[in-house]
Amino acid sequence: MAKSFKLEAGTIHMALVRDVQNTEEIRKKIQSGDETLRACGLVRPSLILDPIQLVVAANKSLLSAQREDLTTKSVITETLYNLSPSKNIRQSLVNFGIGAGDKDVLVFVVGDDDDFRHLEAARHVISGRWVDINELEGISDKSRIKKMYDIKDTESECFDLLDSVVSRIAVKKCL
Amino acid sequence: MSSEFVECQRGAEATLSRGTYLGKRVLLKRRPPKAYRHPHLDSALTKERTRAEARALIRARAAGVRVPTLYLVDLQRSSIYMEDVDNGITVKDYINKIQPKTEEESKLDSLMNEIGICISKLHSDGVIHGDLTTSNILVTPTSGNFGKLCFIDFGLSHTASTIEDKAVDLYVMERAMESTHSEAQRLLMRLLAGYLSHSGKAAEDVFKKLDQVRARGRKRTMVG
Repeated sequence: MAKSFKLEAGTIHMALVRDVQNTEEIRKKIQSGDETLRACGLVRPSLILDPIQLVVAANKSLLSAQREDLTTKSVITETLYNLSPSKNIRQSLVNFGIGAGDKDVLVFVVGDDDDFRHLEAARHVISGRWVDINELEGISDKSRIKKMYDIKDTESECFDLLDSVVSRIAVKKCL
Repeated sequence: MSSEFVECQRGAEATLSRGTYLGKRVLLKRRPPKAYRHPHLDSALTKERTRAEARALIRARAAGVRVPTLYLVDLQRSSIYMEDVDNGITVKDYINKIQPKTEEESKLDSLMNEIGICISKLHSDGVIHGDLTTSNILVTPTSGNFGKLCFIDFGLSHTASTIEDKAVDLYVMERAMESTHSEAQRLLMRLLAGYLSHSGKAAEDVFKKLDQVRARGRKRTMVG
Protein backbone atom coordinates (compact mmCIF):
# COMPACT_ATOMS: atom_id res chain seq x y z
CA MET A 1 0.00 0.00 0.00
CA ALA A 2 2.69 2.40 0.98
CA LYS A 3 5.09 3.61 -1.62
CA SER A 4 8.69 4.75 -1.49
CA PHE A 5 10.49 7.18 -3.78
CA LYS A 6 14.19 7.89 -4.06
CA LEU A 7 15.27 11.42 -3.36
CA GLU A 8 18.65 12.87 -4.23
CA ALA A 9 19.93 12.26 -0.74
CA GLY A 10 17.46 9.87 0.83
CA THR A 11 14.06 8.32 0.50
CA ILE A 12 10.47 9.35 1.09
CA HIS A 13 7.86 6.84 2.11
CA MET A 14 4.20 7.70 1.83
CA ALA A 15 0.83 6.13 2.36
CA LEU A 16 -2.75 7.24 1.90
CA VAL A 17 -5.29 6.68 4.66
CA ARG A 18 -9.00 7.20 4.06
CA ASP A 19 -11.98 7.45 6.40
CA VAL A 20 -9.73 8.39 9.26
CA GLN A 21 -11.67 8.33 12.50
CA ASN A 22 -9.31 9.91 14.95
CA THR A 23 -8.03 12.99 13.13
CA GLU A 24 -8.39 15.20 16.19
CA GLU A 25 -6.50 12.75 18.38
CA ILE A 26 -3.72 12.48 15.81
CA ARG A 27 -3.40 16.24 15.60
CA LYS A 28 -3.08 16.53 19.34
CA LYS A 29 -0.48 13.78 19.39
CA ILE A 30 1.60 15.56 16.77
CA GLN A 31 1.40 18.86 18.60
CA SER A 32 2.52 17.23 21.84
CA GLY A 33 5.44 15.52 20.10
CA ASP A 34 4.21 11.93 20.30
CA GLU A 35 6.94 9.28 19.91
CA THR A 36 5.34 7.19 17.19
CA LEU A 37 4.24 10.06 15.01
CA ARG A 38 7.26 12.23 15.47
CA ALA A 39 8.92 11.11 12.27
CA CYS A 40 5.74 11.37 10.22
CA GLY A 41 4.34 14.25 8.26
CA LEU A 42 0.64 14.50 7.51
CA VAL A 43 -0.58 16.26 4.38
CA ARG A 44 -4.02 17.10 3.19
CA PRO A 45 -4.38 14.85 0.14
CA SER A 46 -6.96 17.05 -1.55
CA LEU A 47 -4.12 19.46 -2.32
CA ILE A 48 -1.84 16.79 -3.76
CA LEU A 49 -2.24 15.79 -7.40
CA ASP A 50 0.38 13.11 -7.59
CA PRO A 51 3.15 11.66 -5.39
CA ILE A 52 5.77 13.55 -7.43
CA GLN A 53 4.43 16.81 -5.99
CA LEU A 54 5.35 15.66 -2.49
CA VAL A 55 8.57 14.09 -3.74
CA VAL A 56 9.82 17.38 -5.23
CA ALA A 57 8.98 19.28 -2.04
CA ALA A 58 10.61 16.68 0.23
CA ASN A 59 13.72 16.48 -1.94
CA LYS A 60 14.17 20.21 -1.57
CA SER A 61 13.69 20.03 2.18
CA LEU A 62 16.25 17.29 2.62
CA LEU A 63 18.83 19.26 0.62
CA SER A 64 18.19 22.32 2.79
CA ALA A 65 18.55 20.20 5.92
CA GLN A 66 21.91 18.88 4.78
CA ARG A 67 23.11 22.42 4.22
CA GLU A 68 21.65 23.52 7.53
CA ASP A 69 19.56 25.96 5.61
CA LEU A 70 16.06 25.02 6.76
CA THR A 71 13.51 27.81 6.93
CA THR A 72 11.36 25.88 9.37
CA LYS A 73 12.17 23.62 12.30
CA SER A 74 12.29 20.18 10.71
CA VAL A 75 12.37 18.38 7.37
CA ILE A 76 8.70 17.56 7.82
CA THR A 77 7.49 21.09 8.40
CA GLU A 78 9.87 22.25 5.68
CA THR A 79 8.20 19.85 3.26
CA LEU A 80 4.76 21.24 4.09
CA TYR A 81 6.23 24.71 3.72
CA ASN A 82 7.82 23.86 0.38
CA LEU A 83 4.51 22.51 -0.88
CA SER A 84 2.89 25.82 -0.17
CA PRO A 85 3.17 28.85 -2.45
CA SER A 86 2.93 31.09 0.59
CA LYS A 87 5.98 32.51 2.36
CA ASN A 88 4.12 32.46 5.64
CA ILE A 89 5.13 29.34 7.55
CA ARG A 90 2.10 29.18 9.81
CA GLN A 91 -0.27 29.68 6.90
CA SER A 92 1.51 26.98 4.93
CA LEU A 93 1.19 24.45 7.75
CA VAL A 94 -2.49 25.28 8.18
CA ASN A 95 -3.17 24.97 4.47
CA PHE A 96 -1.24 21.81 3.75
CA GLY A 97 -1.34 20.07 7.12
CA ILE A 98 -4.46 18.18 8.13
CA GLY A 99 -7.39 19.96 9.75
CA ALA A 100 -9.73 18.80 12.47
CA GLY A 101 -12.49 17.60 10.17
CA ASP A 102 -10.31 15.87 7.57
CA LYS A 103 -11.18 12.29 6.72
CA ASP A 104 -8.34 11.61 4.31
CA VAL A 105 -4.70 11.81 5.27
CA LEU A 106 -1.48 11.42 3.34
CA VAL A 107 1.27 10.23 5.71
CA PHE A 108 4.93 10.55 4.79
CA VAL A 109 8.32 9.89 6.26
CA VAL A 110 11.50 11.47 4.91
CA GLY A 111 14.83 9.81 5.66
CA ASP A 112 16.49 6.68 4.36
CA ASP A 113 15.22 3.24 3.32
CA ASP A 114 15.19 2.14 6.93
CA ASP A 115 12.72 4.80 8.03
CA PHE A 116 9.89 2.86 6.50
CA ARG A 117 9.36 1.45 9.98
CA HIS A 118 8.00 4.81 11.13
CA LEU A 119 5.25 4.47 8.58
CA GLU A 120 4.55 0.95 9.82
CA ALA A 121 4.39 2.22 13.36
CA ALA A 122 1.94 4.95 12.37
CA ARG A 123 -0.48 2.25 11.30
CA HIS A 124 -1.27 1.57 14.93
CA VAL A 125 -2.06 5.18 15.65
CA ILE A 126 -3.93 6.33 12.56
CA SER A 127 -7.12 4.35 12.35
CA GLY A 128 -8.66 4.30 8.91
CA ARG A 129 -8.44 2.44 5.61
CA TRP A 130 -4.88 2.29 4.33
CA VAL A 131 -5.44 2.36 0.59
CA ASP A 132 -3.39 2.37 -2.58
CA ILE A 133 -1.64 5.67 -3.25
CA ASN A 134 -3.27 5.74 -6.69
CA GLU A 135 -6.53 6.68 -5.03
CA LEU A 136 -5.01 10.12 -4.63
CA GLU A 137 -6.29 10.90 -8.11
CA GLY A 138 -9.89 10.74 -6.96
CA ILE A 139 -9.28 12.86 -3.88
CA SER A 140 -7.31 15.80 -5.24
CA ASP A 141 -9.37 18.92 -5.69
CA LYS A 142 -8.15 20.51 -8.91
CA SER A 143 -10.01 23.77 -8.66
CA ARG A 144 -8.77 24.32 -5.12
CA ILE A 145 -5.24 23.51 -6.18
CA LYS A 146 -5.50 25.99 -9.03
CA LYS A 147 -6.65 28.66 -6.65
CA MET A 148 -4.04 27.79 -4.04
CA TYR A 149 -1.14 28.07 -6.49
CA ASP A 150 -2.74 30.99 -8.30
CA ILE A 151 -2.74 29.25 -11.66
CA LYS A 152 -4.76 31.20 -14.20
CA ASP A 153 -6.79 29.75 -17.04
CA THR A 154 -4.28 30.91 -19.67
CA GLU A 155 -1.90 28.43 -18.09
CA SER A 156 -4.15 25.60 -17.00
CA GLU A 157 -5.96 25.45 -20.33
CA CYS A 158 -2.71 24.78 -22.13
CA PHE A 159 -0.82 22.42 -19.88
CA ASP A 160 -0.95 19.70 -17.34
CA LEU A 161 -1.80 21.15 -13.93
CA LEU A 162 0.71 18.85 -12.25
CA ASP A 163 3.60 20.28 -14.29
CA SER A 164 2.61 23.81 -13.31
CA VAL A 165 2.39 22.94 -9.64
CA VAL A 166 5.67 21.01 -9.60
CA SER A 167 7.49 23.85 -11.38
CA ARG A 168 6.26 26.33 -8.79
CA ILE A 169 7.42 24.14 -5.92
CA ALA A 170 10.82 23.76 -7.59
CA VAL A 171 11.43 27.50 -7.75
CA LYS A 172 10.14 28.32 -4.28
CA LYS A 173 12.63 30.36 -2.26
CA CYS A 174 14.66 30.95 -5.44
CA LEU A 175 12.83 33.83 -6.99
CA MET B 1 23.91 11.12 -7.99
CA SER B 2 25.32 13.71 -10.35
CA SER B 3 27.86 11.15 -11.56
CA GLU B 4 25.04 9.39 -13.38
CA PHE B 5 24.50 12.45 -15.53
CA VAL B 6 25.99 12.40 -18.99
CA GLU B 7 27.04 15.68 -20.49
CA CYS B 8 25.39 16.33 -23.83
CA GLN B 9 26.10 19.97 -24.60
CA ARG B 10 28.41 22.65 -23.43
CA GLY B 11 28.08 26.34 -24.05
CA ALA B 12 29.91 29.39 -22.85
CA GLU B 13 27.54 29.86 -19.98
CA ALA B 14 26.40 26.41 -18.94
CA THR B 15 26.67 22.69 -19.47
CA LEU B 16 23.72 20.44 -20.17
CA SER B 17 23.59 16.83 -19.02
CA ARG B 18 20.99 14.12 -19.23
CA GLY B 19 20.10 11.75 -16.44
CA THR B 20 17.45 10.51 -14.09
CA TYR B 21 16.35 12.57 -11.12
CA LEU B 22 13.48 11.78 -8.76
CA GLY B 23 12.49 9.02 -11.15
CA LYS B 24 12.13 11.36 -14.12
CA ARG B 25 14.26 11.78 -17.22
CA VAL B 26 15.74 15.20 -16.72
CA LEU B 27 18.05 17.71 -18.25
CA LEU B 28 20.49 19.32 -15.85
CA LYS B 29 21.63 22.81 -16.70
CA ARG B 30 24.59 23.81 -14.65
CA ARG B 31 26.59 27.00 -14.76
CA PRO B 32 30.14 26.13 -13.80
CA PRO B 33 32.22 28.73 -11.99
CA LYS B 34 34.39 30.93 -14.16
CA ALA B 35 37.95 31.01 -12.92
CA TYR B 36 38.75 34.37 -14.47
CA ARG B 37 36.23 36.21 -12.31
CA HIS B 38 36.61 37.10 -8.69
CA PRO B 39 34.84 34.30 -6.76
CA HIS B 40 32.42 36.66 -5.04
CA LEU B 41 31.42 38.37 -8.23
CA ASP B 42 31.22 35.03 -10.02
CA SER B 43 28.87 33.44 -7.52
CA ALA B 44 26.69 36.54 -7.39
CA LEU B 45 26.38 36.70 -11.17
CA THR B 46 25.80 32.97 -11.58
CA LYS B 47 23.14 32.93 -8.88
CA GLU B 48 21.40 35.89 -10.40
CA ARG B 49 21.37 34.30 -13.85
CA THR B 50 20.08 30.99 -12.61
CA ARG B 51 17.38 32.81 -10.72
CA ALA B 52 16.48 34.95 -13.73
CA GLU B 53 16.17 31.88 -15.91
CA ALA B 54 13.90 30.11 -13.42
CA ARG B 55 11.76 33.20 -13.10
CA ALA B 56 11.42 33.54 -16.87
CA LEU B 57 10.43 29.88 -17.20
CA ILE B 58 7.64 30.33 -14.68
CA ARG B 59 6.47 33.54 -16.32
CA ALA B 60 6.50 32.00 -19.78
CA ARG B 61 4.41 29.10 -18.53
CA ALA B 62 1.95 31.48 -16.91
CA ALA B 63 1.69 33.29 -20.24
CA GLY B 64 0.57 30.04 -21.83
CA VAL B 65 3.80 29.10 -23.58
CA ARG B 66 4.99 25.57 -23.03
CA VAL B 67 8.38 25.30 -21.34
CA PRO B 68 10.08 22.36 -19.59
CA THR B 69 8.72 21.43 -16.17
CA LEU B 70 11.12 22.29 -13.35
CA TYR B 71 12.05 19.72 -10.72
CA LEU B 72 14.66 21.58 -8.73
CA VAL B 73 16.30 24.96 -8.88
CA ASP B 74 19.44 24.87 -6.78
CA LEU B 75 21.13 28.23 -6.49
CA GLN B 76 23.98 26.85 -4.41
CA ARG B 77 25.01 24.47 -7.15
CA SER B 78 23.76 26.92 -9.79
CA SER B 79 21.80 24.08 -11.31
CA ILE B 80 18.37 23.71 -12.80
CA TYR B 81 16.86 20.25 -13.07
CA MET B 82 14.16 20.25 -15.70
CA GLU B 83 12.06 18.00 -17.85
CA ASP B 84 13.85 16.36 -20.76
CA VAL B 85 11.11 16.79 -23.35
CA ASP B 86 10.07 13.40 -24.74
CA ASN B 87 10.91 13.00 -28.42
CA GLY B 88 11.73 16.68 -28.59
CA ILE B 89 13.79 17.86 -31.54
CA THR B 90 14.70 21.42 -32.40
CA VAL B 91 12.63 23.27 -34.96
CA LYS B 92 15.88 23.69 -36.89
CA ASP B 93 16.41 19.94 -37.22
CA TYR B 94 12.74 19.44 -37.93
CA ILE B 95 12.77 21.90 -40.83
CA ASN B 96 15.98 20.46 -42.24
CA LYS B 97 14.64 16.91 -42.11
CA ILE B 98 11.43 17.68 -43.92
CA GLN B 99 11.21 16.33 -47.45
CA PRO B 100 9.99 18.87 -49.99
CA LYS B 101 6.46 18.52 -51.31
CA THR B 102 5.27 16.27 -48.52
CA GLU B 103 2.42 16.72 -46.13
CA GLU B 104 4.87 17.80 -43.46
CA GLU B 105 6.07 20.65 -45.60
CA SER B 106 2.57 22.03 -45.76
CA LYS B 107 2.49 21.91 -41.97
CA LEU B 108 5.45 24.26 -41.82
CA ASP B 109 3.27 27.29 -42.35
CA SER B 110 1.11 26.46 -39.40
CA LEU B 111 4.18 25.67 -37.31
CA MET B 112 5.62 29.10 -38.00
CA ASN B 113 2.25 30.67 -37.31
CA GLU B 114 2.14 28.88 -33.98
CA ILE B 115 5.65 30.04 -33.10
CA GLY B 116 4.61 33.62 -33.88
CA ILE B 117 1.63 33.29 -31.56
CA CYS B 118 3.80 31.93 -28.75
CA ILE B 119 6.34 34.74 -29.09
CA SER B 120 3.48 37.18 -28.98
CA LYS B 121 2.14 35.55 -25.81
CA LEU B 122 5.55 35.95 -24.20
CA HIS B 123 5.81 39.57 -25.26
CA SER B 124 2.32 40.45 -24.06
CA ASP B 125 3.37 39.30 -20.61
CA GLY B 126 6.64 41.18 -20.77
CA VAL B 127 8.89 38.17 -21.23
CA ILE B 128 11.69 38.82 -23.71
CA HIS B 129 13.37 35.53 -24.59
CA GLY B 130 16.59 37.17 -25.69
CA ASP B 131 17.90 34.30 -27.77
CA LEU B 132 15.13 33.25 -30.12
CA THR B 133 16.41 30.81 -32.70
CA THR B 134 14.99 27.72 -34.31
CA SER B 135 17.36 25.75 -32.08
CA ASN B 136 15.72 27.08 -28.95
CA ILE B 137 12.25 25.87 -29.82
CA LEU B 138 11.43 22.18 -29.66
CA VAL B 139 8.71 20.24 -31.42
CA THR B 140 7.53 16.73 -30.64
CA PRO B 141 6.74 15.34 -34.09
CA THR B 142 4.20 12.58 -34.45
CA SER B 143 3.22 11.07 -37.78
CA GLY B 144 2.90 14.00 -40.16
CA ASN B 145 2.43 16.61 -37.47
CA PHE B 146 4.87 18.75 -35.52
CA GLY B 147 3.24 18.04 -32.19
CA LYS B 148 3.65 20.43 -29.30
CA LEU B 149 5.95 23.41 -29.16
CA CYS B 150 8.28 23.87 -26.25
CA PHE B 151 10.44 26.95 -25.74
CA ILE B 152 13.82 26.37 -24.12
CA ASP B 153 16.93 28.22 -23.00
CA PHE B 154 15.73 31.32 -21.22
CA GLY B 155 19.29 32.01 -20.15
CA LEU B 156 19.41 35.37 -21.89
CA SER B 157 15.86 36.41 -21.14
CA HIS B 158 14.71 39.44 -19.28
CA THR B 159 11.44 41.11 -18.55
CA ALA B 160 10.62 44.29 -20.36
CA SER B 161 7.61 45.77 -22.01
CA THR B 162 9.15 48.28 -24.35
CA ILE B 163 8.57 48.05 -28.08
CA GLU B 164 12.31 48.26 -28.61
CA ASP B 165 12.94 45.05 -26.65
CA LYS B 166 10.22 43.15 -28.47
CA ALA B 167 11.42 44.32 -31.87
CA VAL B 168 14.99 43.30 -31.08
CA ASP B 169 13.74 39.91 -29.87
CA LEU B 170 12.05 39.37 -33.25
CA TYR B 171 15.08 40.71 -35.06
CA VAL B 172 17.31 38.14 -33.36
CA MET B 173 14.94 35.41 -34.54
CA GLU B 174 14.95 36.85 -38.04
CA ARG B 175 18.72 36.94 -38.29
CA ALA B 176 19.04 33.45 -36.85
CA MET B 177 16.60 32.07 -39.38
CA GLU B 178 18.16 33.87 -42.33
CA SER B 179 21.45 32.21 -41.57
CA THR B 180 20.06 28.72 -41.06
CA HIS B 181 17.15 28.22 -43.43
CA SER B 182 16.99 28.66 -47.16
CA GLU B 183 13.33 29.53 -47.08
CA ALA B 184 13.72 31.95 -44.23
CA GLN B 185 11.78 34.79 -45.81
CA ARG B 186 8.64 32.78 -46.43
CA LEU B 187 8.80 31.20 -42.98
CA LEU B 188 9.33 34.54 -41.33
CA MET B 189 6.27 35.97 -43.05
CA ARG B 190 4.19 33.22 -41.49
CA LEU B 191 5.77 33.79 -38.12
CA LEU B 192 5.06 37.50 -38.16
CA ALA B 193 1.53 36.83 -39.35
CA GLY B 194 1.03 34.60 -36.31
CA TYR B 195 2.48 37.29 -34.08
CA LEU B 196 0.14 39.86 -35.59
CA SER B 197 -2.90 37.62 -35.23
CA HIS B 198 -2.34 37.37 -31.50
CA SER B 199 -0.94 40.79 -30.62
CA GLY B 200 -3.21 42.82 -32.87
CA LYS B 201 -2.59 46.54 -32.66
CA ALA B 202 0.40 46.18 -30.39
CA ALA B 203 2.12 44.21 -33.14
CA GLU B 204 1.95 47.09 -35.59
CA ASP B 205 4.10 49.25 -33.35
CA VAL B 206 6.54 46.41 -32.88
CA PHE B 207 6.76 45.85 -36.65
CA LYS B 208 7.38 49.54 -37.23
CA LYS B 209 10.20 49.41 -34.73
CA LEU B 210 11.45 46.18 -36.31
CA ASP B 211 11.98 48.05 -39.58
CA GLN B 212 14.16 50.56 -37.76
CA VAL B 213 16.09 47.80 -36.02
CA ARG B 214 16.71 46.11 -39.36
CA ALA B 215 18.20 49.32 -40.66
CA ARG B 216 20.55 49.87 -37.78
CA GLY B 217 21.18 46.49 -36.17
CA ARG B 218 20.50 45.07 -32.76
CA LYS B 219 22.24 47.72 -30.68
CA ARG B 220 20.60 51.05 -30.30
CA THR B 221 23.66 52.82 -29.08
CA MET B 222 27.12 52.45 -30.53
CA VAL B 223 28.63 51.62 -27.19
CA GLY B 224 29.61 48.14 -26.05
